[in-house]
Amino acid sequence: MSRAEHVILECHDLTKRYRGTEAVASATVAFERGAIHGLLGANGAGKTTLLHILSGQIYPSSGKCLYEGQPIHENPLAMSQICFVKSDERAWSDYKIKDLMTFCSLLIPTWDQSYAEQLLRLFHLSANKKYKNLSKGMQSLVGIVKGLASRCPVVLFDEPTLGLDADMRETFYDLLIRDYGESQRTIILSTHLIDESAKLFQYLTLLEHGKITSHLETEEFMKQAYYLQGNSSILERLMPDERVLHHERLGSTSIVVWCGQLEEEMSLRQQGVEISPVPLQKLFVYLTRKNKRSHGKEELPHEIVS
Amino acid sequence: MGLLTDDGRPIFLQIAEKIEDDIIEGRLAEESQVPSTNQFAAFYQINPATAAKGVNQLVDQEILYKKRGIGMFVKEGARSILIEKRKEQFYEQYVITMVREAGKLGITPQQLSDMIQRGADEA
Repeated sequence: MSRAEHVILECHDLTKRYRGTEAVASATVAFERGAIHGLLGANGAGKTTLLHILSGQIYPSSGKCLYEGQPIHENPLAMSQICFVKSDERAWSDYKIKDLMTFCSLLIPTWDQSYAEQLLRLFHLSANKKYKNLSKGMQSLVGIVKGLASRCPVVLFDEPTLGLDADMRETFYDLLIRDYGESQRTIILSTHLIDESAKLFQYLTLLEHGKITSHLETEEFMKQAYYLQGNSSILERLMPDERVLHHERLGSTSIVVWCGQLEEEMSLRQQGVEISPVPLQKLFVYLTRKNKRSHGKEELPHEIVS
Repeated sequence: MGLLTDDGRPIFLQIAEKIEDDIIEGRLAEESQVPSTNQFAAFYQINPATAAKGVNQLVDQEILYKKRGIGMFVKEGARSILIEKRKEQFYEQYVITMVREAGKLGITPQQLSDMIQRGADEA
């Protein structure tokens, strides 16, 4: 497949400044067509701003943003193909759910009204309720209805599961997989519930301080790092090394999180070191902490930890 | 089928192993149809592309084959191929691990071999 067939949405050197701070800072990434993408980043990393720009609804300060190779901004055709589900739809506050569904049907050419009604029933959302009178979880469900019933080729979900109970989150994951299986649309989803949604994602994009620091297939992303567990005297020989993301010691046992190529795998195993995968959420935490350190931020003071 | 384990091992490998287990233990007969990628995805709540990767790995190993427009099927002879493959893995996965653990506990090879005999008699 050529690159053009492979990529549906991309941005180049994208920057968005708000009063001197860069929410998005020279972000460059290409999103593969027909995949579910996970967008991960710490609070304030720029996830919402990036999605907002990709939807065409706000302008970048500089840089390019393309859908099918065409600029997204001021391009009604491109914008009609991209559905953005915000985590906080302030403009919806004073409207009833049924009005919101009407707006969607007018604004989104591919809108599926009967699917929307089916979802509203499934979620026990009554059409006459005003958006602002709903709980946070129910507001998220209205957003989910918008995203799924939009049937748009690209759907951007910003924190779609905020406030949802475990049961409803599972229902959402099931619906998303089923819909995706039938349609192969492109989905980009940001979330803080990393472990429970990891298996949904074919690709992961990591955003740190407004920059894309990695964009990889989920398995490749996970393969970056391992836990090494064993005798401290053996493991401490590996340090210092910038590939050590994290290190803990309990008595004479150490756990090291190693990120990168591990040349001595065989010899370590022979010395009784156990090598195991790092769950995604943990890996995310270690990576972001490392980055914070290199940005000069303090770790938790010892008194608070202990 | 059974559940996936959340130990960070690649999910596509786990899917391939589940199918292998089903073939070895006779739940999936040779020449019978394997669930579709979307069915796997819905059942395990995973990305369909991941499920497809697991299935395709078995196609590459000539365990499964595709009938155009119908779906994936278990190839004739798949079970014996898998059993051979598992026998090779058995040494690494079980024997080596067991010998290493025995070493830690000070169990001699002779004692270990007696234990295996006892286990075989009881099972």
